[in-house]
Amino acid sequence: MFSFSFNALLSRITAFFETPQSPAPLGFFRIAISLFCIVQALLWLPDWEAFLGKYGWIQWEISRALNNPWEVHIEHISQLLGWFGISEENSIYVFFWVYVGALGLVTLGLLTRIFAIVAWFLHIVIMASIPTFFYGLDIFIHIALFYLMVFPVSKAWSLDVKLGLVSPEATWGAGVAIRVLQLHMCFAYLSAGVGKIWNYEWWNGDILWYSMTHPFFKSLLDMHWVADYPFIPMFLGWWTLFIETLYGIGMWIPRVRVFWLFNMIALHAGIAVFLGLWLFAGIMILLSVSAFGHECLRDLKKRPKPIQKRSVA
Amino acid sequence: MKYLIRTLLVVHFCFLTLALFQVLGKLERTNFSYFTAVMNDLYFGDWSFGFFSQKVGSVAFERYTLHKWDRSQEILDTQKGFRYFTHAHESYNRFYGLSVYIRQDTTYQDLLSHTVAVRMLNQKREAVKVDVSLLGMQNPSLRDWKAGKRSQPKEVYFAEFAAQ
Repeated sequence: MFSFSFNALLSRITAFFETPQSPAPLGFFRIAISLFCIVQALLWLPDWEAFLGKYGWIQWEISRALNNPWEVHIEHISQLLGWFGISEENSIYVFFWVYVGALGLVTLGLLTRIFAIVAWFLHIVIMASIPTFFYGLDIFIHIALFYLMVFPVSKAWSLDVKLGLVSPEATWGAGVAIRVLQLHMCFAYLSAGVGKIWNYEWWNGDILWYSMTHPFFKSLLDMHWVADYPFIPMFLGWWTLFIETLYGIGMWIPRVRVFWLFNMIALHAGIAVFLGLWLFAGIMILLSVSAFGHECLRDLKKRPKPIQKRSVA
Repeated sequence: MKYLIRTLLVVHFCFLTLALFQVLGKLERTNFSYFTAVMNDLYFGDWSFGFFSQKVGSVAFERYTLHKWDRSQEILDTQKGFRYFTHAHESYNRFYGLSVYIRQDTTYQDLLSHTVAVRMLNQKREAVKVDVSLLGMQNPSLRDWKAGKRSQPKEVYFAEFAAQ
């Protein structure tokens, strides 16, 4: 007979979150995200002034007007650096190298918490300074930097461990951190999937058609030939809805999650190839791999051995 | 410490759940919106991740006509490959958001096109005036395309800016 016990439910939830786990996935998360952010920043460097300079595409006074009053803008940083004799033109590059330097130290895992806070804060400043230019890539980077700041990410593969500043032991904190990252990804994909379900154009293939042939997005191929095979965008639309909406279920089923992770990677690889959003695809793949990659690896290692034929004497 | 983290977790997931069910948008004009904005600064807690749930088939092109001292003209047109002098494709991707912003947000339309024009005049010192023209079109659907329908961009916004 079914009996509900609130205490039993609570203890199951507690065990789900707080069972001590190896911090290795968090070490991977730290290195992958911080290296990714360094690459993204370096790609941006030649255009840095155009986006963040005082007379960039959106001048400081206008980007400031679009912000909340408490948000720190690059102009504030520039004024601060001005006290040290650094000009407005140079201040944005000093800012850039401090950001990249902080990310570099997070990658190495030296005084990780402090430099993760620095990187996260400077990323807020970047976002506040380009309110009309940021998109999904920046949003997911910001979420990842926030988690780098609050999670115990220095407990694996870090100089903090080598120097004895942090213990590499499995702790309940690492368990909580991994679960939070996993659940956040499930929330994000459920929301994205449900948001798409209500749009009929996802069901009839039009969205994929628009995306593949959109003149702004730089596809590697001319995709107008797809019009002769309408079942292709239709199928890809259904596949996207299925993979995104049910991500939060598929990723919790042993072995099935390997299939799901592979499909997520394929989905984002498609976004990279057809829309030219390479960095956006990259961060999404890294986040999913950081969240569930270690469990997929464990599933793959636990693959059942083939049954051996017995011989009868 | 454990109790503090548990409390923060409950707040975190409640917030994500509210975002997921699009509840936060309804609280925009209340005092709760300050809390939402702070959570946004922290980790984009109120983001609803509905990428591409908007009208993707809507296309915008920008055309800048630069009038120079010697009365010649230079036309920079995104439809013809103008990429805002960017050095990386990832930088150019950011202009998709800007063109959507200029097209949709009538409050900031003049302001944003003005700031882009100022940059343009600073980049091209020989220019004395710049005409900003925003062209929009709706791409034909798959079925319409197969039936032979093609769209042509139409001007949806125009402004002139002169250097001082």
